[in-house]
Amino acid sequence: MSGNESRIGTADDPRAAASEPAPTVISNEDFQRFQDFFYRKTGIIFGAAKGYFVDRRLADRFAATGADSLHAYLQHLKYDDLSGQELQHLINSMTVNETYFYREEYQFRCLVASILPEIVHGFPSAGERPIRLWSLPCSTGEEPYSIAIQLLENWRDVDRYDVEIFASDIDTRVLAKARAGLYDDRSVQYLNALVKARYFTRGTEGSWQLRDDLRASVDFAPVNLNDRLDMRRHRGSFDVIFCRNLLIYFDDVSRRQAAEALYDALRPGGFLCLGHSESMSRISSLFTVRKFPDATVYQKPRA
Amino acid sequence: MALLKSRDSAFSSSAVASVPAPLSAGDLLASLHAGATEAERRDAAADLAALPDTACALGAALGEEASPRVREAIVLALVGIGTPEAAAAIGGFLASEDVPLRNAAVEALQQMGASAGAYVEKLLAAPDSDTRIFAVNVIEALRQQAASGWLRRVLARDPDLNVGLAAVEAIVQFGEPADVAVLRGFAARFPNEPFVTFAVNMACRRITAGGIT
Amino acid sequence: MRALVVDDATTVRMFHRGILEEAGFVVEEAMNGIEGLERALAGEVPPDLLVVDVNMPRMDGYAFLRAVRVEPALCDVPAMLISTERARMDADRAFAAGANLFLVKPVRPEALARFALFMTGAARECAR
Repeated sequence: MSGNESRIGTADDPRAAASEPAPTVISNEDFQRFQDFFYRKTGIIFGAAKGYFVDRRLADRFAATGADSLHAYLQHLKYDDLSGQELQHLINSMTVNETYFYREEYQFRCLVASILPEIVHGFPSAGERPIRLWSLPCSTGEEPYSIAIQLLENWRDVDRYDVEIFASDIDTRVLAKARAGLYDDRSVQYLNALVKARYFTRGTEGSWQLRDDLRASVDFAPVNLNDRLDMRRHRGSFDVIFCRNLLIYFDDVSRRQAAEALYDALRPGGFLCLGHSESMSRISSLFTVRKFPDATVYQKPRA
Repeated sequence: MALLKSRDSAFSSSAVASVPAPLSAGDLLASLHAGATEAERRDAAADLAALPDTACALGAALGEEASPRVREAIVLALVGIGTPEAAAAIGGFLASEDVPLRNAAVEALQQMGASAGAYVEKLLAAPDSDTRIFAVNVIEALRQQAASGWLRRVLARDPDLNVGLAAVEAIVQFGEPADVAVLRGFAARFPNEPFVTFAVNMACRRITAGGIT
Repeated sequence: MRALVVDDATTVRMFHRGILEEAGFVVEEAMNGIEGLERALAGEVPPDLLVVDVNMPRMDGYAFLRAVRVEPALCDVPAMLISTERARMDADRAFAAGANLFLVKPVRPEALARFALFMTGAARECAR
């Protein structure tokens, strides 16, 4: 292939900068076929409005794998992609991966409105033991710090109970950033001015430094969800685990094993929150579905 | 502002927790059968995943285990072992009257890979039509090229239309233009079934559409 | 009126969707019982009808119906359970799980449409 042709449909394509969308790559029937495939794998459905979005990204994946049709690409995924790497690339490209404070905030509302009340309701006497929350993967810390802020701002019982917030990631570099607690404008964009003023110090050039006492309220440590021995240390420890937008990238068997590990890490009656477009329906039958007004989450049975 | 305490040194300590000495297969199996708590039995099952020779015994334990959570751990162990013996151990449950167990067996074989293929190919000749349906469901998920040939044979010859329909479903997902002929042949065998007509038409459309426009 | 079709086979979901849409239903789909529960609970109001396959991974049709029947928001929703010939002998199990009707696969379009309308109180049989 000459240089120009190989760049068609990729980020390097000079036409990508043009205001008109690139020509449709796949037929409607093939879009349906891809939809079904992706839906079976991930539970995610793209509306018709996402046609262009899907087109462009599929074109990228076709180019990356040398597939000249959807059929060829699906065959590649089925027979050649034994490690699952291409499937990971595909899922990565079709899902949005950014992290920021209060991402998927409906779950934080659910935490204080429904989950924590249910947990403390089960205590034999008020404040008997600390409530333990785990954010995994925590990436650069936006998620666990959002949880801390949410509790302080919106949980009326925050002074009655001890809460311990733990946060883990496999990547020690992001953990270091998380501990440092320094963020940019993009990361804090959904926080209102009052919250920003209360918990951050404004630095130069759009940098926001999280206050020391908030940084100290989250315990960070590296953990590999796929490592059984690693996970065994945290058996039965947690009341609530946030494991959002991670399992979607695992293959079928690893996902099941991860679900087992998360199940083990929860106390009986503990809760698990997955990402917005993730569902245990594609993963495991261990958990009970719990629908609350703000969110649907999963629960480890009590008995 | 309320202080949130979080001082569990065990969490951040980098020292690896002490790992108990590995138990023997015999001890693990005993724990699997007689362990008083679900957690004990699940642990035993998870540890047995490293011992392929216990596949048969794991299968036997699966038949006796009432807890769905322990069953899940046993099934995962068998999937991990993935040998022909493991496939056979779990495949036996395709004939079970216990619906969740039967469906778990289908799913396990789907995730098991090549060993499952050899096992279910034989099941395509089982006398019971439901068993043949499950066999086709497993084949749908297998990554072996031989699978298309098996599906075509089912479409050409299986007397039960639900078995054929399972094969049509498999072809809708991964079929190719060369499958059209045998699909049409299947439709011709069951001309008075609206769903057969529908499914075959859908499959033919899906597998012949395509190419970059 | 809304129908939720719960089946792991795409061909079956599409087929049932077409029949039910023609009968005037808005159709949602789920691939197994867990997803079915999630979809059924997700809306502001519950579905008007459940059309459920027996054999699905992770949560089969019986387990799904049992879960539905203990969920206050869903427990009275009419439900038909669909399965293959041999499982016809499991009709007792279907009713014990909370199904209102048991059909054998493959379903005939007219049967599905008529039962769906009947079960949701939308059947109109008066001769003109």
